[in-house]
Amino acid sequence: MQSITNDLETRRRLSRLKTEALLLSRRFGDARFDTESGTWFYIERFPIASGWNKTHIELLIDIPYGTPGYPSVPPEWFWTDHDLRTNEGQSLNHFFTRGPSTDREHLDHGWGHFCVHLIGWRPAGGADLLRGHSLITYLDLITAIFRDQRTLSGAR
Amino acid sequence: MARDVDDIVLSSTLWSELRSHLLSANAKPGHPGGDEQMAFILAAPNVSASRIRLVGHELLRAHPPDLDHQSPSAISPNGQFVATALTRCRREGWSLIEVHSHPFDPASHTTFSGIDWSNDRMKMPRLAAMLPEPFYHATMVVGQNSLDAHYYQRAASAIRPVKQVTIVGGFSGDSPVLHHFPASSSAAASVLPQDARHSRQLPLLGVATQAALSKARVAVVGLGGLGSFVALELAYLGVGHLILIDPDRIELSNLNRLIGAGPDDVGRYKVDVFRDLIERLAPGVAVTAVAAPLLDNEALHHAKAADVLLGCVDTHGARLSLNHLSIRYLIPLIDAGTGARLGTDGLDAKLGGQVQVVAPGVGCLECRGFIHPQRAAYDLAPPEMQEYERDHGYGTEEARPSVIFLNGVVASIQVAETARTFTATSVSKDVTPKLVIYDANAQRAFSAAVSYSPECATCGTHGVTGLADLAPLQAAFQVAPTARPAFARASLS
Repeated sequence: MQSITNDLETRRRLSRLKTEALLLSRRFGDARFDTESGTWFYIERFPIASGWNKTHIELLIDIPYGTPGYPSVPPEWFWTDHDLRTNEGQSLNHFFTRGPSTDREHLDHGWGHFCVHLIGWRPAGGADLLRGHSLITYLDLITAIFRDQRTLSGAR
Repeated sequence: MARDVDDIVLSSTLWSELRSHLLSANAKPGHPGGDEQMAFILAAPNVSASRIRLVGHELLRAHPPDLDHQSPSAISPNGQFVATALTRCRREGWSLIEVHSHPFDPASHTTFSGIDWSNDRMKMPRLAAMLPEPFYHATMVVGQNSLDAHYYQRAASAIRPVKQVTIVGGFSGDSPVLHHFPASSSAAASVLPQDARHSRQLPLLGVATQAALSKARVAVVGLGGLGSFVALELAYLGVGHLILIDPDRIELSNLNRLIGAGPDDVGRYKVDVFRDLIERLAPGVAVTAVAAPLLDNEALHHAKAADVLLGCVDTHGARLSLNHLSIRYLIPLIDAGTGARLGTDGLDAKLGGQVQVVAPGVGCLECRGFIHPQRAAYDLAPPEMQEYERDHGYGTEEARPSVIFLNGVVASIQVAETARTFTATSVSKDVTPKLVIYDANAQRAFSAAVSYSPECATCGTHGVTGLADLAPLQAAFQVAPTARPAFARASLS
């Protein structure tokens, strides 16, 4: 297995993530990313709607890092607090406390695995990240998902 | 022996901007527009199995403040303009193409002047010493009706001719997507085909098109129901070199639609079966068979050598990869797909397909909405992630319905569009439609308009056009991600 080369593709992805981190840190505070290879993006205190056993969660988003990768390939999986539940103690749909075999050690460190599969994805071009999809719209989607507690918790 | 740079490949957008900068429509001696003009092109190499191409990425125009001298017969940039370009070459890895005009040369064989040669002999070795490999340095001169180009070959310490300049993309909605301009120093008299084998189609295609096809390298990616038809039709048509790419072996369930394959072929690689078939049916066609997925290094090495890519794949990940290969390396992609949707009673099926052209300035599969993001993400994920998704009911590897007559019709449309691409190259008319839709239920095919978005993250102004080997395709499973941060556990409230 090769390490990710410091090619132009990686530098382009890092440049985009840097801009997205700057924009998102204005809304969510600490927003960090993998400055070496651009394979993850992290927000320490992400606010979620009421109805959950927490008001803020940690978010760690897996960035597709092949070529083609992000932004042509959308992010789908993210990691968050493994003990996130509804106020009534129900667990979430689409939330897994066991990740892929390669990530088992990671799960042991307190993360749970959550997926958001996208149907429409038209990534924003490099000139204006606010025109089209990006991590900004992806996080907007996560915000919306946590508002829809009935669906997410599987409540009838 | 070191290989030469075969050609310089530019997008039609860059070429249009370059020509309008170099050759003012109102140029007259003694007027401001009548002086020589110059520009730099930042380019990336495409070093493949069979040739080396320089792929244009960005145009840097020299304006009067960037010049030390400018007249109708000479031009020289100032040190600042040169330093800016060379700094980007050093930092970002670009190769450099210097272009200047001979604005009053109407000849059909514009070439370098003695002063041009003298300058190049002096500066090319110096630049080669300053900038490490794989830096390539080429110069190009553009007249009113022709051009010439050469480059510095390090191994031989010599200036060598570049064969041609290839323009990819549409100048307008109805323009052809592939043009070749022979370089004056390399222009050879074309040898017209005289073979009896193709004599019945020569009146339909024309001698120039048949000659262009015989010199063409065409990659067929995917040898399933579509690709098997396409590969055989291209061989019959007289394409000179076919590159066949598919990782799969033939299964019994493929035999309803793999034209030419039989029970004895079950278990063999598809590419081997079709290489053998083509060698028997059309022995004049060179065939390279690669039994690997497109993102395999060997497959990419051969695919990026092609003049045209034919997409005959059935996954969105492979289709997205082809889309990127096309835009990054400036290779036109003619993509095809078929679809069958069963009615509720299992009988009232809807059948159809589409063939479309991807090139810079024309649009791509992403900005046209032909890539399903979820399926592409699944297809391009590492194998353990795919297994994990399947375990949770997200991914699917269900076999989709497919029938030979649908594949045959759509494949033939795809091959016809390929022939028209090379026809357009030779006669600059009879252009390739950008999207053809086949409605099998209505028994009709029609061309449809496509839109190009300059904001597209892939083929748009700030996309990946011309990045070539500086940002090569690479499967996610070939690389190891860096360690993720630890969970802070600071969010409990």
